[in-house]
Amino acid sequence: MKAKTRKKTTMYKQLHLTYTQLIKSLSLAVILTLICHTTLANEVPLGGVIADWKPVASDKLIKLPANIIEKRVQKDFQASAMATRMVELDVTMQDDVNMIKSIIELMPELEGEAAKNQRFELLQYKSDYLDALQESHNLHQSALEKKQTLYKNVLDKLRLQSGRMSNSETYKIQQAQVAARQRMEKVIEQVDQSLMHLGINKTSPYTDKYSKNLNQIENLKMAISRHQANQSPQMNGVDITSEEYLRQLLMSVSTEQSLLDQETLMLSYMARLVALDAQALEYEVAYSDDNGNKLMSEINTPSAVTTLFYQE
Amino acid sequence: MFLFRKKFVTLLSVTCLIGNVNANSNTLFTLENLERQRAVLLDNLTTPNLATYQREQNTNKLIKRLVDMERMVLRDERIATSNSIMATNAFQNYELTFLIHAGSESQKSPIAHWLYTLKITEKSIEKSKAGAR
Repeated sequence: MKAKTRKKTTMYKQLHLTYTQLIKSLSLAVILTLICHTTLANEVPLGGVIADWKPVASDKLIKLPANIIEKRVQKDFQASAMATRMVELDVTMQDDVNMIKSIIELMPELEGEAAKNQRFELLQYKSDYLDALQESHNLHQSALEKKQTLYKNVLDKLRLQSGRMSNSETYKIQQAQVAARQRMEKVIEQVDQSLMHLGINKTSPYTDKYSKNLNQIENLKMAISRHQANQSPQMNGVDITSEEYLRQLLMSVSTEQSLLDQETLMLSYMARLVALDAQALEYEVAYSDDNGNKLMSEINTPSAVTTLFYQE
Repeated sequence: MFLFRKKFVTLLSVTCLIGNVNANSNTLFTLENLERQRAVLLDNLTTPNLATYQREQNTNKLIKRLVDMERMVLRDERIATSNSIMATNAFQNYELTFLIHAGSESQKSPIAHWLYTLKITEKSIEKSKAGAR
């Protein structure tokens, strides 16, 4: 009987120890997740492949229309290892969420050890989900930073180009010519009339053909400006310059960043909750009503053994 | 698909060809022509051995030609790519380069406008002395 009791006690103690150790390790993992927000998990995922994306503001990219730049960048990002890892993480997180939901649904039906096991499993899935979420957040953050740097570089290069253009001799001559042409166009009719006063009634072949061609040229110019491939970028249906479009892109990136910061705060609170749950489970396992001790105490009480000391 | 690509490449090369033709030709051709004709007009004014009627007839012919040439220069977009001082000066001195249009603007004949712009008056001519510079 004593041997049996000792065996039972040892078994309970061992079980307690295993539970406590597991929960302690789980708590430690969650706390580590909480502390290490800036881990390099996004750089080297479990697969060992570096989930990185290295966009470059190349001359080829700058020559594209601004709205195409955005699409090109997005396409390049989607083809990167970083985006692939993000998709993998999304799938993992979805699986974790499904498991967490099913465990939560099962929980009320369970009691005793089975309930504790489920709680432990639930904490593990929650911890896994938070790990994946944190890695995903870090990747998103990194992608946004890279996009921001890229758009800034493109904007700088565009400004440099337009600066060079406006400072160049060609541009200055062009502007002077445009001003002179506008001045000339104001007196064209007056000049033609003065020619008639001089007795020159017949118009020159240049004037004739130029006016005939002018309409056709205007039509062609209109067709070019209306062409889909030549359309300037639009924001809320209004035509804007490439610089303005890039500034808007930078603004939307910073908006996404601030929302991501907010989500990171949510992530830290969720991790804290999981850590508290783990701690509670640990205390419960360690200090709850102990069946082994109860059994021992029941056996060791004098009232339980009095019959051993006399014969009826 | 291949044919389409081939056609697209041909179109692109045609565009490049047009670009090259423009790039290789003398970008200041129209401006040089205008300057030549303007010089002839001023020469016609200052040549002493011409009868008044003859001078007037020549001037009218030259004015008609200059009207077209001035418009050609102002519409020629190749001039800006030349980066030349000649082009810069031509547009900076609108009053002197585009004599016919500038004269019409100031309600003066081209010759009178030229003299007025350079501040050459009867008095200044009378006061002037012939001699080596």
